[in-house]
Amino acid sequence: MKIRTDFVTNSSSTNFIIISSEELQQDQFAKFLGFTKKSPFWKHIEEAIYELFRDMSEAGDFTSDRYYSNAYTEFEDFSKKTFSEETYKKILKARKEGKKIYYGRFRSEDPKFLSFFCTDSILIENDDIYFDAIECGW
Amino acid sequence: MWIQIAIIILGFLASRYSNKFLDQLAKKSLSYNLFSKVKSWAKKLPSVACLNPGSIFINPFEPIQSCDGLSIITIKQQIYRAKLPSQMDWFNALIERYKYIIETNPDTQKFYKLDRPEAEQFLNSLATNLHETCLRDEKLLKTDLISRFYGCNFITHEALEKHLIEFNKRQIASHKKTAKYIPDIFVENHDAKEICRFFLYPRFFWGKFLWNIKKLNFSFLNHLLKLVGIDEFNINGRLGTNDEYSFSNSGETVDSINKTLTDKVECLEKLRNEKLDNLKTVVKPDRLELAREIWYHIRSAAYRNSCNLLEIQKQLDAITKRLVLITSRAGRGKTNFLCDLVDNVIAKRGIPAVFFNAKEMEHNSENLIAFLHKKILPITFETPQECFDVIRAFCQKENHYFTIIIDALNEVNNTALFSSKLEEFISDLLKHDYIKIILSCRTEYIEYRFNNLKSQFEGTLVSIENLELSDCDKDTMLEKYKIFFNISANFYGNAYYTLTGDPLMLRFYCETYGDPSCDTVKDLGAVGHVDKTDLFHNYLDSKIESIVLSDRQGSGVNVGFRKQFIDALMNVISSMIDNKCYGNVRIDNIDAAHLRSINRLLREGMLLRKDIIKGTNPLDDCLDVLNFTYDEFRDYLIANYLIHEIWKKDQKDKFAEFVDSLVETKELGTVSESRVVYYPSVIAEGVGRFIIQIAKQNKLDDLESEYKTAIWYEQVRLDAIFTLDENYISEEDIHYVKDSFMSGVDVSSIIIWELWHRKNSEQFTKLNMEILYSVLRDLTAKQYSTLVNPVFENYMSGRAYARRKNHFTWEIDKLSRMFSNFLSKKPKQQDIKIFEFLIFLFSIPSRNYHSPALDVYDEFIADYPEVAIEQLVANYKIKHLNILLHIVKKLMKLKTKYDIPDFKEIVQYVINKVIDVDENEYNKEHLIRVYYPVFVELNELDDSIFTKEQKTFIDNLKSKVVILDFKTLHSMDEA
Amino acid sequence: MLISFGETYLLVIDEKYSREDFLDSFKAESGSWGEFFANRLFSCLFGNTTNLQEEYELFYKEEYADFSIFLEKYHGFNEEVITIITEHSGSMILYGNYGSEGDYDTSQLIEYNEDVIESINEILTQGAKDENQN
Repeated sequence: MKIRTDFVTNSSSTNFIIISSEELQQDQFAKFLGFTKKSPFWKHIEEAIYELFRDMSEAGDFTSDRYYSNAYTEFEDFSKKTFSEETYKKILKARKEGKKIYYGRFRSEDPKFLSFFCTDSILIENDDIYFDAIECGW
Repeated sequence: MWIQIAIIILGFLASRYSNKFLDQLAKKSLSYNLFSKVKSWAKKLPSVACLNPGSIFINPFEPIQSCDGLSIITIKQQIYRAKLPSQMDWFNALIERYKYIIETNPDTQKFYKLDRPEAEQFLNSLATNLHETCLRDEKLLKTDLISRFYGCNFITHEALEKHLIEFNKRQIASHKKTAKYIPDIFVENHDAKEICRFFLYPRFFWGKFLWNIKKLNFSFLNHLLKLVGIDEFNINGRLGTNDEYSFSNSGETVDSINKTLTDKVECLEKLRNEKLDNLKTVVKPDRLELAREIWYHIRSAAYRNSCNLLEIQKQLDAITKRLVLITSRAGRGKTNFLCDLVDNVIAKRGIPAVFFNAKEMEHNSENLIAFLHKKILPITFETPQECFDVIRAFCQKENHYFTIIIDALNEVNNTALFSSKLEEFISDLLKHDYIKIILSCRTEYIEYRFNNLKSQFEGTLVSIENLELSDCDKDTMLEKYKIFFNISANFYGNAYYTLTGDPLMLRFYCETYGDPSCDTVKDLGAVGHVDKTDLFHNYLDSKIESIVLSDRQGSGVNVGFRKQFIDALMNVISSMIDNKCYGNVRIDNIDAAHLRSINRLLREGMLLRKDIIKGTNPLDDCLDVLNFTYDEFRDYLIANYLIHEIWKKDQKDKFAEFVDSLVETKELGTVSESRVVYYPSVIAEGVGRFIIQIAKQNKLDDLESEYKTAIWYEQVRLDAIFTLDENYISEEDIHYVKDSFMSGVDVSSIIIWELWHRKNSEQFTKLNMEILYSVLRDLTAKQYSTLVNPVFENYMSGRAYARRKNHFTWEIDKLSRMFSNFLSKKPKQQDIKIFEFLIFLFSIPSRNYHSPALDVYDEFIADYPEVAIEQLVANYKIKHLNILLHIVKKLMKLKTKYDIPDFKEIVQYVINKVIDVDENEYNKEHLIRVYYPVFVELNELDDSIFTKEQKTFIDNLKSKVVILDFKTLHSMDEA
Repeated sequence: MLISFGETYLLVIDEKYSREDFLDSFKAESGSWGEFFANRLFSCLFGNTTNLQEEYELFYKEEYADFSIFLEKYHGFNEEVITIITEHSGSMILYGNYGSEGDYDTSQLIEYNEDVIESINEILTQGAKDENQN
């Protein structure tokens, strides 16, 4: 998703949240997205998930300077202002239940498939994992 | 001997009977014996009188007798009729029958609607007999007889079809003969031709229209709409028809389909333009958040689908509209386009149409309908209505439209008079619902002479305003010319664009340097620039040489008549200058001594052409006049004549007088407040440009002062500079180019285009891309938005829907793609300089508001970091602050790996620019928001990079900068 | 087979090739995002394409003496592309413009990434192989 302003910018990006009952593994996440190793697209998704895991952080380790130039001091503050109300409620609930919460950001400069996530709007949920990337910022 | 006698006798009889039939026989030089048979048969004919059931009884071999109203049979004819039974019983019966029908039902007057098979049967057998006797073409004879026996308003559909095919074939053949149309080098314009297909053949292309509708796929859009709970968008099956197209169903069905399509496009446009603030009225509350998130996708999908629908609607439009107007500049291939259309669409698909040049109509401008009848049908009619009825019956039977194609409206001599006659003519024709019309005209004539056509017929007009080929088709055209003219050459830069952009120039070029009849291929090597003065000079030489050669072969005489040709041409030019009239030079004004050479040049066809105009004196018959086929060539000759024959021969006053005469005036305003506007005359652009070029090339400084004050000078100067050889360009010219850039996008776009083609700075040492960069560096964002952005903007997809532009454009997506392809071929070090141009395009958005130039430049940085650093550093003083932001960001990124010269100085320059920004130019708040993170990062990178004051400035910004959440961003989007 | 040139592309496939074949070869879990993505990829590639042989047979046979002349003159394809098409005369040839169906991002993912095109070709040829085996 890109936002039009007077200034052209190529660095559009999307914040995402992943909530998981257990500590999240790369293979598990690929399976959650529905990809099998047999798929001709496996290499693309594998590469994307690798990048995604490398860059994402746990909510507990929230550091305000990571992407947000010290604009937020707390993870709650960040998620409240960044995601939809519904998502924010899910995050609060997950925190209470002691689930794992990961956050991160896709950028349009990322490797192809990851940048596709950035431009697309994704919300996927099953019993174990909740993946929400329908937010947009710079 | 017998044949000669036969011809004499036939001639005599033909004059006596004033009969075309006999005349034709005479021309066929039949033997006397054969002719006697025909004659004796002909003598019997009064008794085989023929019937025009409309009103009169006609003897085909005698002049038609007039008759009052519906009184059917004259006394004389009754006598013939009395003789009939003994000779042909059936005919009497027939006459009785027709008499009855006509008398009892005056409306049923048209013979062809009656019992035709009976009539035809008899005439066929008669024709077979005659065929055996005189061995004429049986089919033609049948047509002849049928038309003669049944009055003049009878023609079989078969014969009409054949006549039209033959007629159009002859027209095409004459264009081929004069080499105006060479199928081997023709490349079709896809969009224009396709629209014409729908226009010409609705019954058939109705199927393609429905096929195109069925192909549409809205699955992605519908997926998005489903997500936000909006009803599915669809069109298949909603058009309410799969019927065949015909006259009878065309009206209502098409109207309702057209309305459906318009509604659908509106629906998509509504989705596309929906304000985010307004979404709550469009989607349910529980989908509102999601809708806001993904509305961008919906907009994009709706936009693309509405483009697809509009394209299809344009086809429907062509099906229903009645008039096509094709306009383009001279030599862009209008005649070729129409010839191809007639040759390859109309003929092959059997579409009834007639094709002719407007000039053919001009002598008959008083009665264009009568002229048309003569063209369409090989027989004559009592009234126009009879002719239209024949066509109507024909069209109804075949479910076809009848199309009248009139080429080159601009070629008529008295366009002012003709245009009003033409309007009446078209209005009359369009009253007949089975007639369609295609017109072609040069753009400038439409604006000045035929402007009413557009306004008067707006509701039923399809305008084709561009016959320009796609880049890929231009390449094909160039290749075809090279093959046809036996040329091998690598055209690049300016030469490539000059030749592919002007087919007529390409033709001159190939005729000059190539030869279609040659066995060997001429290798011209790499060609980067076309010097027109040189080209025309050589063209003239080669043309004359070929004439001399061919004539020598023929008669072995006339050594040295080369000069005679030049003198003859100069005689034409001098006549033009003396009379201040640059077209239609009367042949009787040419010195008798030159006539032979002129006629020889006319036979050659390419330089001069002979036209016929109506004399100004009513007693005058038509006049033969001369014109140059290519105006630019005429202008070249005029400029040469003025300089060499007038100015150099000390007729300075005459020269000055001519220079002043290249101006026309126009009065504008009201009676009380009128003002006179001066503008360059039609030939000023061409002649002026060549005068400047020749003066500069020959260093005629005295001459320069003669024309510099002329009113047309400023308007042709830029063009002259860009067509001049690099050696003759002065500092003053370069300043002029720079100043002109600021005058508007119509000029800036030309300068960008021209300089782009001079990107080879080794070849073009003075006027090249460096000049463009120096101009662009000094433009503010506001100036950029009016002078540069419009040139590179992306217009709506669907070539046919490109917004009408008055300036040259070059879509940023295409340009970036070209750079990207170039980069992927691993260009050599000396060729990568041109990537600097991308820096100046960083601020140009593509359709998705992304900067493609930035992306490609990133690829370039990855491959050639050192060169990129040099280019970025060289441009850090650019005034456009968005571009500057990207330059700094890129340098900042590069700084982590490479040494950037003067990095600190650059950064300080940039922050000072932001501190002192002109708030009239930029939204400071916005500017700070995008620059702030960069400053923070720069500060983190090197603590000493900013001065104390600058650091305080950054710290103060912190409180002002709010990192925006998506809602704020969306509201900005709305703004 | 997907052949990409500029903003346009050709799909050279078996006449019976279907969305199901594509999804089978993509091998995503049923009901997953991967399957949704595969569907989107299929729509993006196959939606709004033109079946060139059908177009020729139905509408342009009278004007152009044979199929390759039609490809050259009507569509403006160069020799290389025409050769590819005529070499696959037994297959169905679909001609498309990237993004014409409105899915800008998916079409960009394909258009600008050669290895994505490679993967798509793997999927398309997989379908062909299965067909042959059956």
